[in-house]
Parts: sequence; structure tokens; C-alpha cells
Amino acid sequence: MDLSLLTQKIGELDEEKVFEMLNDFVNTNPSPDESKKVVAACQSGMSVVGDFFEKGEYFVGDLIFAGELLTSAIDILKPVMDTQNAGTVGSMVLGTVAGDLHDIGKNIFKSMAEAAGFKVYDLGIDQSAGEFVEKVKEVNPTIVGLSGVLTLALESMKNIVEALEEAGLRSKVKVIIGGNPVTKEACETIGADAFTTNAAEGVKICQKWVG
Amino acid sequence: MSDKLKLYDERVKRLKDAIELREPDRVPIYGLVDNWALSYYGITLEEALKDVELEYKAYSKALTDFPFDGALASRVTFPLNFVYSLGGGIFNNATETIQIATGHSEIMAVEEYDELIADPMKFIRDKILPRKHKIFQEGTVEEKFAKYANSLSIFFQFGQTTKMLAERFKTEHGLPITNAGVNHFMPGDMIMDYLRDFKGIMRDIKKCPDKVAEACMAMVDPMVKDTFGKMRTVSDDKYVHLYLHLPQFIRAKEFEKVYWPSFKKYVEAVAARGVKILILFEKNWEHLYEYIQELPKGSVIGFFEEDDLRKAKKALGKTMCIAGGLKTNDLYYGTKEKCIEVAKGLIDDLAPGGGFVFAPDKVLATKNDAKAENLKAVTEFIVEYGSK
Repeated sequence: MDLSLLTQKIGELDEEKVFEMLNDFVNTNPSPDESKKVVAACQSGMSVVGDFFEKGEYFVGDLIFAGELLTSAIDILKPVMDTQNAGTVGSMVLGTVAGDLHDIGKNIFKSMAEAAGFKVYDLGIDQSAGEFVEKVKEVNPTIVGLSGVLTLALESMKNIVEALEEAGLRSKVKVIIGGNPVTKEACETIGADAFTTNAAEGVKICQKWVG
Repeated sequence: MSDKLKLYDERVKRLKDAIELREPDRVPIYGLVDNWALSYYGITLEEALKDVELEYKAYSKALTDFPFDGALASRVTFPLNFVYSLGGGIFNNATETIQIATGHSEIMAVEEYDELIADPMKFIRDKILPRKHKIFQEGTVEEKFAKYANSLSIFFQFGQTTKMLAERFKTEHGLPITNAGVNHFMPGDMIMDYLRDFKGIMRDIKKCPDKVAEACMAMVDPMVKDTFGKMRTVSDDKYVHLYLHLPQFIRAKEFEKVYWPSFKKYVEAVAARGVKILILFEKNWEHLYEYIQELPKGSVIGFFEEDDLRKAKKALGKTMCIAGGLKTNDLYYGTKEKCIEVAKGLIDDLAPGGGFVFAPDKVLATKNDAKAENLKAVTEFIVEYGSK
């Protein structure tokens, strides 16, 4: 298995070639260690996708397609992965904030985060501060991810961070905000630890926090 | 002639001059006002849908408290009562806004493109509507027809009321509501929003782009027919409004292949009949300027959301009027002074030579999209500063 070719093909969104390479690999009855390397190569491919997006060569449609490609790739590899001992690198509670129903970006981020080894508790859309606090209390995540597209999402994000503070949970988690309206100023006003408009960059930030 | 009608004609001319790429008597200000009007007045969406008079009062206040030269709509833009009567639809308005609930629109299978291409109206009417709407899924044939007739009557009432309200804005406020009742998405947007949903169309664009392109082209003629079925007369104060969803998410080459040919054909057909087209170029269109500069000259007013308007005017100023400029983030979170500073810069750089209209960068949909005092300060500033 040519790992760097696999990474390249994922980056190019060459679905046929990727499936061919992965199916051939699975048919060789590989060890869990070898499979781990292949999974890592796939994740590197997602980084390549993120870079293309950053450069303005790829668009959201490409990210969606990449997310699907990655999910399918992991499905092909599941039978030869060591899922018993596969720890997670960290966990996160993720959701689109109150008043906002948009979830495409959140879903792209989720599939990339899962592919990178995070356990993601996805609350869904239109989630209130109360709902976030409850889930954080329940699962003790490393990270909380807040997503939104509308201007009103910024207000909701602020409420959620405040609620986490009131509940004594803020210092226990890292908060990352994502979506159209997020900026450095918004991040400071909201009290988040990081912000991004690029799902792959967001995952990199999360990896730095746990790694 | 009454004062209001005189004011109306002045405003229509101001906008017409800008769209036809001349310098008007002052920089026009366009009221891209959506559901923000409801919270500004102090009513909920539910209340507006139940009482047209209340709805009119709310929009009247929002559209006349500020010196707008034209506005997007006389009321809540979407016929939600009609949608309710069908048993629901893709818009979820539980949040005082009208947002598409994603993930519910993959109603068409990828194998059905050929049927859509062969006869879009037949396919949508006979296959999609029954799949989509509750009222077609239970009861006898007579019951289904009765419910459908009821829904249509609600729809027609919406259309008639909307026209009536626009007329009231003309005679009572002298304010042009440029919405002629033709609010379209382009074929590519319709396939995304109503037939294949987001994931579906992104996949189709990669896997069967020829089909997507063909389907979009097949939908143009029915759309043109629908447009001029609604617009029986052509006048300077009524435009076709287009809201473009798909292009911001795909690469330029993909846009060129699947979306552009049908978009161009439709706009050309409308412009050929002397009708102006108002287009919301959502998100960022810089990578597509080489295409849209080919749209009919002097017929389009293009609202740009994230683009640098100075770059847009340079690239597109010979083709279309450029509109927008003030971010809702600034209108809500910024100071009056910041908003005025932005407006001054826009007028200095974009007004000379005409072809510029001031507006927020996107429609004002919720309370958080603008602080009234900011909007007042900046629009009053423009009336002063933007005069010749």
C-alpha cells in the first residue's frame, strides 16, 4: 500500500481509486498496526483537502464529498481495524446553537473530527445553553464545539459560554466556535478559545489541544 | 399628482439610474429588510401570519423609519400559511426566521434525472408533489383534490394580498416595493433545495454533471413562462428577484458546467423584455466574475455579500449595478461612528460614475442583524453625504 499515494488520492477526491486501493489492502489481511497507518494516511488526505479549501481551490461541496469519502473509507477498513483497543484521542460535544438550523458545516467538521479519532457527541441543531451544559455534565468532554451561520448565532454562542461558566464547567473544556460570522473579535467577545471557518483547520486546532 | 406618488417616481428613477449605470441624484439606499421588521415592531412571526393588517403595520414602520428608496418585500416573504395547508414543507420557522431545515429535501432519486429532464413540470407535479406533501398521502382522490384546491386558494390569496400591500406602500408611503411577485431560485438552486438536497447535489455535480446541466437547462423555459405569467406588464418599478444558493459552494469549473448556462439563459430572457433583475449573489462570487460580467448590461442590480465591493465594481461595473457594503455584524455589534465611516468610504470609492446602491451585506432577517440607531444614523448620513 503506497500510503502517500492514498493520501494524495483522498486529497484529489478520487473516489474510485481510493476504494480500489482500500479494497485491495483489506484483501491482503493486514495487521491492525498496518491498518492504523492506512487510517492515518486517510486522515492526512483530509488535511490536504483542508489546505485546498484554505487556498480557495476547493469549496464546501468538495468538503461534503470528502466527508462522505472518508466515512466510506473508514467503513471499508473497519473489518481490519483494531476497534477494541482503539482509544479515542479526545471527546467533544458539538452542536449548532440556538436559533440556527444550519448543520452542513457542523456535519463536515464532525466527520473530519471522527476520522481524526475524536468521539463526537452531536447534539444537532438549534441547541440551547441548557442543552449544552447538560451534555457536558453528562459526558465530560475535552472540547465543546459551537456552530452557526446566522448573525444571531454569535449571541447564542455567548450565552452558551456564559452558561458553562455559571455551571462551573468552563475551565474544564476548550471551546471552539465555527461558521460564517465568527471572527477574532467575535471569539473574544464570546469567550471561546479558538475560532475557524475551515473544518480541517478546526480539527487541527482540536488535535493540538489533546496532543 | 399627490406628494406620495411624486416621491414614488423620484425613488423609482433614482434606482433606475443606478441600475442603468448612470449617476443618480444621490446614492440610493435599498431596504433589504426581511423578518427583522417583525422584531423591530414587536410582533412574532405567528402573529404576523394571522393578521395581515398587523403585518402591514410592522413592515410599514421598518420601511419608513429609514430613508429607503426601495424595498425587498411588503410583508413576510414566504407564503407560510400556504405551506402549512399542504402539511408542511422544508422551511422551519420555529425560530422567528425562515430557514431551510436541511436534510429533508432529498425527495428525488439520482436515477430520476432523465424523467426530470424529459418534462420538469410533469415530473414535479406528478411525482414530487405527491411524495412531498402530506395532503396527497391520505384520503380519497376527491379529498385530495379538495385539500389541494384549498391550498391553492390560500396561495392565490397570498399573491393578491401581496400585490395589494405593495400598492398601499406606493400610495401611502411613496415607497417602491420592487418585488413583482417573481422570486426565483435558478434551476440549480431548485434541484438542491427541493429535489436532491445538499449532499445529493454535491455528489451529482461530481458524479453525473451532464445530467445536472441538462436538468437545469430543461427547467429554464417553464421558469420564463411562469415569470411572464406573473408579470403581465413591464414597468420600471417592478423587478424579478433572484436568490442564488448553489454557486457559493462549488468550484468555478463546476459552476460553468452545471449552473451557468441555464442562469445566463434565464436572465437574458427576462432582460430582453425590458425587466430589471435584482440578484442576491450570496456569500462570495469573486471566483465567478469572469462569467457574470457577461450578463446583460444595465439590467442587473447585484447585491454582494462577502465580496470586496471595490473589486466587484472594477470587474463588473460595466455590466451591472453593485449593491451592498455594510456588514450586519457592524450594523448590530458596531458603533454608529463605525457604520458611518464604512458608508463614507463606500460612497467615496463607489459612487462616482454611478452604478452603486447602498445596502447591508445581507437581508436583515433577525433582531441581531441591525441596531435601529445604527441603521438610522448611517442611512441619514448617506442621504446627506451621497447627494451630488
